[in-house]
Amino acid sequence: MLYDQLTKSLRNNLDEYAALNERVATGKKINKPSENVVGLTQAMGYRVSIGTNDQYQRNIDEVSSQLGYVDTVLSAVSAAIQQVKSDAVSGQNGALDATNQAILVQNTTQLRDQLLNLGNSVFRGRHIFSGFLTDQNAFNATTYAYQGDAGSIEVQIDKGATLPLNVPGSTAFSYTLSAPDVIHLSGGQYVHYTPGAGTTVAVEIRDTDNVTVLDSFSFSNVIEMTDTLSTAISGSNALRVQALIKPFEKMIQQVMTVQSNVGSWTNRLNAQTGILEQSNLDIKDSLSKVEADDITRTVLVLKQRETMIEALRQSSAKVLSNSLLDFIR
Amino acid sequence: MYASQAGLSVVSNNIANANTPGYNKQDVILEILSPLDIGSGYMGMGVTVAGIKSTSDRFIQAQLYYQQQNMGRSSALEQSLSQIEQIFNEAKEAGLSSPIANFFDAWNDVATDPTSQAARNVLLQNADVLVLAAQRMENRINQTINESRIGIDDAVDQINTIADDIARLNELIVIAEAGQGERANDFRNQRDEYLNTLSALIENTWHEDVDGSITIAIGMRNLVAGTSTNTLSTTIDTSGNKNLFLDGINITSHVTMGKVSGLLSAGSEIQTGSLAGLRKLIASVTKEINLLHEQGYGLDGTTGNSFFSSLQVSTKNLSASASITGSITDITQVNLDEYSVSFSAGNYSVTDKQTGAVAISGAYVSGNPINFNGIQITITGAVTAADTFEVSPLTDAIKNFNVALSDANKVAAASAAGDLPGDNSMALQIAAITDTAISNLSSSTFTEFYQGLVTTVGSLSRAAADSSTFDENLLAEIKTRRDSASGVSLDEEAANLIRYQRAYEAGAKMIQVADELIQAVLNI
Repeated sequence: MLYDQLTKSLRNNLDEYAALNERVATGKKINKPSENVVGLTQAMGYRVSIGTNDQYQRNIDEVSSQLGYVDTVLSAVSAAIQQVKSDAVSGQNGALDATNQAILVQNTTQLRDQLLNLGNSVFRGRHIFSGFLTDQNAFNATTYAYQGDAGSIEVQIDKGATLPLNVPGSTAFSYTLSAPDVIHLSGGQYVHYTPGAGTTVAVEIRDTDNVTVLDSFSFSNVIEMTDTLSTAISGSNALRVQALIKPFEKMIQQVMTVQSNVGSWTNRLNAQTGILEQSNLDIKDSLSKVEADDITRTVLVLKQRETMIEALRQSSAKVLSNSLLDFIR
Repeated sequence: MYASQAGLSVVSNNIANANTPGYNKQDVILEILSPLDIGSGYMGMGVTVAGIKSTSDRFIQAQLYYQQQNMGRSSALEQSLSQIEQIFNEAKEAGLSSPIANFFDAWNDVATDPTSQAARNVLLQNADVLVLAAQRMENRINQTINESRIGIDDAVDQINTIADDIARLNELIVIAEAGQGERANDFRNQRDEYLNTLSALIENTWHEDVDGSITIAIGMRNLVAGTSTNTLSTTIDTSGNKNLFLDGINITSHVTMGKVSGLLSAGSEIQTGSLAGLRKLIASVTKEINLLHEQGYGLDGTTGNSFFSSLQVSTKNLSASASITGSITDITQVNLDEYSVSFSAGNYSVTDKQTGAVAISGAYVSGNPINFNGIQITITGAVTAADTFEVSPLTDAIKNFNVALSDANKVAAASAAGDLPGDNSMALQIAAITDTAISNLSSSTFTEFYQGLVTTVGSLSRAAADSSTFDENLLAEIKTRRDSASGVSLDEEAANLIRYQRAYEAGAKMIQVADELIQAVLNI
């Protein structure tokens, strides 16, 4: 009876001792579900949230670097279009001397190629202005036509929230004319801009009577526009050059709009990063409250338990070895 | 002197059995012999041994048996459930939580860069890890269920052996006690101890007959009656649960205590709770991922590829002559419930086992396909009212769980062939499933459903551990009480030893004195 009781209390104490020891070894209060079901479920939820937040952060990092590159390219595009526009302004008078004409032609041709290269930029193996068709050039190298699509590659940055990591070339390098537009040139001629399919703009230059069509052409993106400009300058087609100045102004605005969009996305990413970091900090804090063990306390309790077991062993040894039989001689 | 000697041998028997489990301390009952009338009064004739009494308390003994039954159940439950708990031990980050999370993270990485071979390969690897983790868990759960079945078989063998032993002791006790008022203490002690062990194994009721033999009943059928026994046997029923048969009758439902009942409950608890839940989760993952993935396009332009091996219906045939085949015709309709088919008067009826509702019923025609909830079954042959069939899309869900894709280019990240290779919208949709409430999983997400499973396992294990501790303490308490009444105290026996030794010495001294007296007379 005495023996049973002693072994039972020894076993109980050793069980507790082992459990405390495990807590010290893992640094965790909860070492199996049954120890604290609610706590464990919370801890699981927290861990999943931390994992998801980390994944969102990885997504954000990827979007950030892509958008950063898009922004750099768009700044270069904007600068190039400004130059093209000033070249157009310089070339709008038909009476240019041959040298100046040649310089302007060379300039615009170069800017056209520069814009083409910018449009066909590749970042980490992906053509960033081709929409979904990331494996091919956004703009045809000879016809300058856009050959990507309007796909925007959305990436999850939060539960149910996505941001695109690209801008299709059809948005960044073209503008969409919403309604037909007419302007008056300084020589009294009329220029009619009519929206066509997609981003195509058909241009008609009419004489002062607004009926006789003097010239007509169309373009669908800034590279085509630059190419037309360069041909017009070399052919001394002053009317065409004049008709192109307004589209270039519109294009500059368009690129600025796109850039400010990208800027606002980047801001949102930064804000989201902050939110995720804060949320992860909060969750980790809660997780450690639920799960982490107060080691100092546990070690203290462990020490106490050790002393108890030691005392129990000593007293048991004394009690068990005592018997009346020892005194019978 | 003879009485003292008897006292000494009882003491020596007590000491010898000091550590024998279930031994009840015995005492010598001494009685004064009838005095002799010597005319001038009565003269004492000394002492005689009236009997040897075993100090057992029937009431405590009955409590002990009852508590043994409780303890047997709760410790068996605790053992099985704590094993399952270890399989779901998310505290040690074992289990499915992180494989599921990693799998969907990999989809996110494919979404951020759908052309990256690396991201696609990582996705396939993570999918493999998920598959392996699920299969490992199922294997370990099955192993635990199997262990509980083996445990039941072992316990049943033990019960049958004990039944034989008790029947033998019944015979010995009846013979030993026949015709005299004396009790066969040692046989009874042995039998008590067998009853004790039996109680730990299985719930039973018993009573003692006038001749000293006992009758033991389990679930109102006799296991032991006098010297005859019935053999307890087990079978596995259609849902994989063990059934107990005694005397040809199924007594499973009457067994609510003892180790066997603990193992029975643990087995069915695990089967219907953890195992079924895990299968449902994996079936749902397979279904939802495949449904979207099959609409998407791989880098190589192919579409309609399953990401995981398709879900399959498994059927169980419980009829004598008919046979059944089943397949999934429309996965979108499959609600991941299990069905049973029964027949009556030429009509079939398909019942949803989860809701209890009848999914479809009609006149049975052999070979005609029966369609319900996206599943088609065909039963051929003659059926009777006793025939049933089980149809389940879950049974093999984990067994067949496998990544069907081997070519990373076939991972469908795009929603349209024309948008290749940059389109990531399908990958994005699949990655978002992890946040979607799945109607088949009672409108919870994969993670929430899995957390539910872990919580259930944890609570069950906790409850089992608590009641096991409680029962253990109670049992220890009763044992202590039994031991304080009937246990052998070596000190007490030592005291008795000295007492009888002294009495014996005094008796011997008396002989010496008598001898000296006679010597004196003879020397005259």
